[in-house]
Amino acid sequence: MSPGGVCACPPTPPPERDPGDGCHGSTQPAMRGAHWGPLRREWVKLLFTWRTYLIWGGLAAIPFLMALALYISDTGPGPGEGPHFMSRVLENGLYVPVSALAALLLVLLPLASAVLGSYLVAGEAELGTLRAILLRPQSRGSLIVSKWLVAVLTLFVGLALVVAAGILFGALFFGLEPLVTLSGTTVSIAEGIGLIVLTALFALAAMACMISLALLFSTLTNSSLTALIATFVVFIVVQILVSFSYFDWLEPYVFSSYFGEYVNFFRDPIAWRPIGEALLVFGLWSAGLTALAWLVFRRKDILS
Amino acid sequence: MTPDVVTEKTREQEARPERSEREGRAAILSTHGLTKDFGKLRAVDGLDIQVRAGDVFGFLGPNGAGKTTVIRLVLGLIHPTSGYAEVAGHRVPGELKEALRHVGGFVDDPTFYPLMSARRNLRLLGSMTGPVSEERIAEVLEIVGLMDRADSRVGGFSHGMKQRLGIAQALLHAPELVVLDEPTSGLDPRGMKDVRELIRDLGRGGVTVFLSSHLLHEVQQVCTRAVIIDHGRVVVQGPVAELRPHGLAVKVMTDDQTKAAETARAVFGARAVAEDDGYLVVQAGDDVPELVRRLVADDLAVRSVVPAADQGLEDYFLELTARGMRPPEKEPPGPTEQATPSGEDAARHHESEPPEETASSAELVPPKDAAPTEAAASPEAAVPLAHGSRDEEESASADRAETPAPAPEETSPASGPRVTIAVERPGGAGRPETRAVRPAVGGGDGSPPPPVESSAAPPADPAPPSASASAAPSVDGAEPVVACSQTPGPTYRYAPPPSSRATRSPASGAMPVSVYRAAPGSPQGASVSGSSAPQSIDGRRR
Repeated sequence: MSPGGVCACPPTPPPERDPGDGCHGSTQPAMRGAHWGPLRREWVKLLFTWRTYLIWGGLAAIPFLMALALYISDTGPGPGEGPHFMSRVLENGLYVPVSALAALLLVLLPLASAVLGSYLVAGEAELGTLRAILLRPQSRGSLIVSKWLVAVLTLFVGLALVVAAGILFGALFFGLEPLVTLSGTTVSIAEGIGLIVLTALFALAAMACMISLALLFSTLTNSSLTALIATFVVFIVVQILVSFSYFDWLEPYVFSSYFGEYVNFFRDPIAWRPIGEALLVFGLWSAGLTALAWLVFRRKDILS
Repeated sequence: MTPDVVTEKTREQEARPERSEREGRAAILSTHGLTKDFGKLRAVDGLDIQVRAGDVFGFLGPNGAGKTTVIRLVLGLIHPTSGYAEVAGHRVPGELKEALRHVGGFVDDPTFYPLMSARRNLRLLGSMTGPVSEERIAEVLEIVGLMDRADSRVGGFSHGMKQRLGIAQALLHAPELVVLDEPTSGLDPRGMKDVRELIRDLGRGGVTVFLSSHLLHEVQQVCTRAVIIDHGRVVVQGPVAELRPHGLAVKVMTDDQTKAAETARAVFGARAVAEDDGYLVVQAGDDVPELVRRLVADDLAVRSVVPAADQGLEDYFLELTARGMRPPEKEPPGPTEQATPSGEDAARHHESEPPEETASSAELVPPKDAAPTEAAASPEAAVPLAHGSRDEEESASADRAETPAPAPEETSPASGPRVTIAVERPGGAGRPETRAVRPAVGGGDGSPPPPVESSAAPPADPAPPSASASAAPSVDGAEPVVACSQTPGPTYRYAPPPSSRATRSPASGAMPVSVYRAAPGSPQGASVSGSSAPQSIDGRRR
């Protein structure tokens, strides 16, 4: 097209223009760092979505609310009650992020992951932007992978907020003390923070499975709400199933059975073996479910 | 390429050898036996269409005909059950990514991220195809007249503004092929007009436009070639000028209605004559000169001969689609079937050359139909009296320049080409048209009178790709676009009257579209803003 095209071809009269002369801007070499292009675009899309900030805000608020409630009531749950480490919060603010993570892993983090994941494809289908972006010369595979990566990144930011807010409000309300491990030994505050970061990364790996599961459902439907509900139904049904002894054989294969393995970080020395097993299971599930989502999406008829 | 396509092409070349150069252009978009089933429903059924580079191609069909499905198939959003499409030399599916590099457009309604500004949306979508400069983004926003809303959230945009933004998004990378799915839906009359002019300008600039629409007059106005599909099958395909009946409807006002009616009946048969709102409606096809000659011979004072408002392509379309998707049987050729110029020819007509009496209606033959109309090229096609007996006759198309399609009820009962002969009522002061006696009406054989000629203009003007494209902006007023808007007839035109249009120079910047048009003067690479700096966006704001 001639008028003001980005290309700098000699001004040939339109009728004689050869369509194959490569004159149109669209065949110009791709921009530098094009591999980061899909990731950056998906990230920008998430930044321009209210629900991202809702998730981040919610995650950051949890440690604050927990610390505040415990500070005001001044009586924590007894040992063995509530999430792990909750009973120790009153003595040491460093337990605030740990217990926040423990509490979040039960429901809120899986929910947030499911929301993020189910929105990835079905949300764009709802908006109608899916067909707009698929009219651009980009492979569907890179779209799926970058979407998954960006959802994990979003959750990473959320978990970082949890840890930061937990340490901040733990220090404010209760003060930071050296951490007492489950084995009874004491580690320094810095080491304790390191363990907390490891716990957050472990939670991220666990949630990557949830994102993949939600992404799969997201490619199967054009409604993000349907994908979200489907994800959560599967998540809860599986958890109920493995609670029956009849389904004990199922337990090693279900990723949600490994969510609690982060406690092994708080042993001295750290019990890497169960943690490694858990990460392996998370990795397999994430890769498998994402690959399945890609297979579905690759051949999907976009009718939204 | 399937045999069907080959035969069709051959037929076209036989029918109009002078067009072979045009036909020689490569197909930029073609489908080959494209078929898509949704469960048991066959949405697209062995579709073979061909869009050549440089065409402004109209893609017509009733709701549910499969238009959008075809576009989705061609652009790889859905996968065909069988068959394939070829876009810019790349097979779809298969080489989709390469194919999409050459395409810009949208399917259904254009969609955007609601919380982002228009500019950011363009940046985001554009970066998926290739590098986009901020200047280019500003440029396309200016083309569609959204510059003043460039930084507001798209979520607050009206439907029409999103349509405009969709067009901007399609033009971002200056693609060879622009696919627009009902781009004027939801636009106000002004917006429609601007978009149509933009499409015409794209066509002049050598861009191939694939325009899906169910608005026939729109296609008639802007397209050079078109296909009508229904139930996923091609009903008819060919140059737009041939996709409508060429019989011409002219309103003639004489001093004696009764006598004029008798005369007209004598010439064209009783069925060809009707009365419409004080006017006599006679279907005269191309034989208006004959009609007028007879009227004058009968001592009638012809006050006015103007094209009657009619349905043109619409009637044709309804007829085709109502009849189980079969194109009309070719009846003994009537005047409607000959002298059907292609878009370019029609344009030449418009520049008041006598019409070529070459028959080219062979192109009307549907691709699947093996038998070309042997009668089409025969000289006896010009026999004038054929009209009255033809109930297959499609009504003529006259001035539809900027007018939305009049309601079907407006057509006279007889659906053929009509000449409206209005007889002055006693005491009635003539309508404006009555005074417009046209001396040329009684012109030479085979040369339609001026009002008639101008009826051929709307589909014609996008055709000449060379002449106007690089013309100086000031020539605009003389272009067919403007000229055809001067044609009398019922108008619901929103645009200012012709006089004011003619005086408006692009530099005055009332219409971003004309800004765009100014640019081809320096076709490739030159920036629009350079050639026509002070565009204001007045009239564009909502």
